[in-house]
Amino acid sequence: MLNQIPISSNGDYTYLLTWYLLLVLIVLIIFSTLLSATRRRVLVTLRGMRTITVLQCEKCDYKEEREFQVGDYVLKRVGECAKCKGPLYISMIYGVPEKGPPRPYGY
Amino acid sequence: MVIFGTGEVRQFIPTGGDYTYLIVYLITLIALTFMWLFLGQRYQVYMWLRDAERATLKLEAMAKKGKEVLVNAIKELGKPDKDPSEEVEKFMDFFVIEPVDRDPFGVLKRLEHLLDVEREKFKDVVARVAPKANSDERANLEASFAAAWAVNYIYKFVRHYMLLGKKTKSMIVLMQIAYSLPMIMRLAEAYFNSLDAFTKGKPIGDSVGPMVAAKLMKGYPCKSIGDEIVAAEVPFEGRLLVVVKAEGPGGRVGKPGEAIAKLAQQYKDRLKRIITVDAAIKMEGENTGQVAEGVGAAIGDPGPEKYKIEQVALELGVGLDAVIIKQAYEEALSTMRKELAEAVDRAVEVVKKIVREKVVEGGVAIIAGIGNTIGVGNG
Repeated sequence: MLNQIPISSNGDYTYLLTWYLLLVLIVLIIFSTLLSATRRRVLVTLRGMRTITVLQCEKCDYKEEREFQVGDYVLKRVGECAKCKGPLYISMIYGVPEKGPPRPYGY
Repeated sequence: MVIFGTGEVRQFIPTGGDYTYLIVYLITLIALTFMWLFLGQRYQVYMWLRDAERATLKLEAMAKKGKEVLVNAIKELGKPDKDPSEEVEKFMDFFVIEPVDRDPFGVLKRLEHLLDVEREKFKDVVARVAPKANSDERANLEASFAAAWAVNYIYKFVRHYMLLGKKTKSMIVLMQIAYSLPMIMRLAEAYFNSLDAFTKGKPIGDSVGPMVAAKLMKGYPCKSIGDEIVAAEVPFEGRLLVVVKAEGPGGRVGKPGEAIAKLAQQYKDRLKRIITVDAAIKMEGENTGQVAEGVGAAIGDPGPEKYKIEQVALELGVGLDAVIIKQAYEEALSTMRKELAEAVDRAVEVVKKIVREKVVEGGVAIIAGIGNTIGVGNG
């Protein structure tokens, strides 16, 4: 059998093409089968987002940033300024995409 | 027969009378040609179907997770006596039938009526499942219901076409759904990601309009004028600004068209300009947070509210200016990005510039911050 593999015993490479085409066909079949086998493994990723609340003093230039807490909203009064005791309010709430890969869940 | 190789002439038909390999070669060639001819299309259909199946699985996971997030939020905010899962599941089949438009007369009034009834339905279901939630929390839950419903609907839509394509083996059905998937998935992910903001009361990209209004009315008393809208009178360099926005900080949009029409009639003797500020979907290549100025009513409702603004402006002969803050669709629905939060101050300056240029001293301008006011107070 081995001596029948036509890697040119007489320098004629035509037969190699035949095996090459067969090989391509086999690879295609294997590739398609693998693709269909992996199709059930679907991952849904959740893009993580850090939410920042910016506190600002109404009277001076004092600014502070902290993590968002449920109940925060823009223009909410949140106590006194640490610098001048003026009223402190939420001037901005924004999200920053988390670094690193998205968190997968589900399937 | 000879073929020309690299500088030498080779025999195509092997010498020595052994034709076995030639026969194998020809059979393979013919088999591949036939496969290409007859199986090529089938393979393409298989690939489209595979894409649609993968998307359906992903959407199914998103729909399930969306409902789970919603149920948890209801339990946390509404403290219901019984598990709300069944009620949530039932609501996922909710639908609205659009009014008939073959006879377009009065179609906007009929559409408005249907939208009011739809809003009422959302309020009813939230009141039923979350009886102990306060008014703002209920508004946030209404928005969460809408987002979870949208994800579930997209899932059912894609599943329908995937199964239809599978059943009928129709290339056109599968091709349409496969090529639409990138846009559909973007939309689904945008709604899915909005659930975090809606359930926790964080401002979203669409809140930029109300945020501009809130910054303008900050420090001035504001009062409710009905239809979930608040208004404040703000003196500005000898002019009077009547600033309007939805009642915050719950996830409301209100009926700004109705409010503007009412206020325009009230101030009609001195009214010089109506300025609407809203989020707008940017084109690819444009920057998030870009502020642009134009003409017209910047409001993305299905029609009735926009119509009222245009109608009152026409009746009173008042100019309509629009200020938009550009963002991607997914940014409009998810927690507000820093670029958008920073763009609010620039938009406030653009509004002030328009007022200085177009409203004479002693005149009145109505400034409306259009959009969902979730996470934004009333000034």
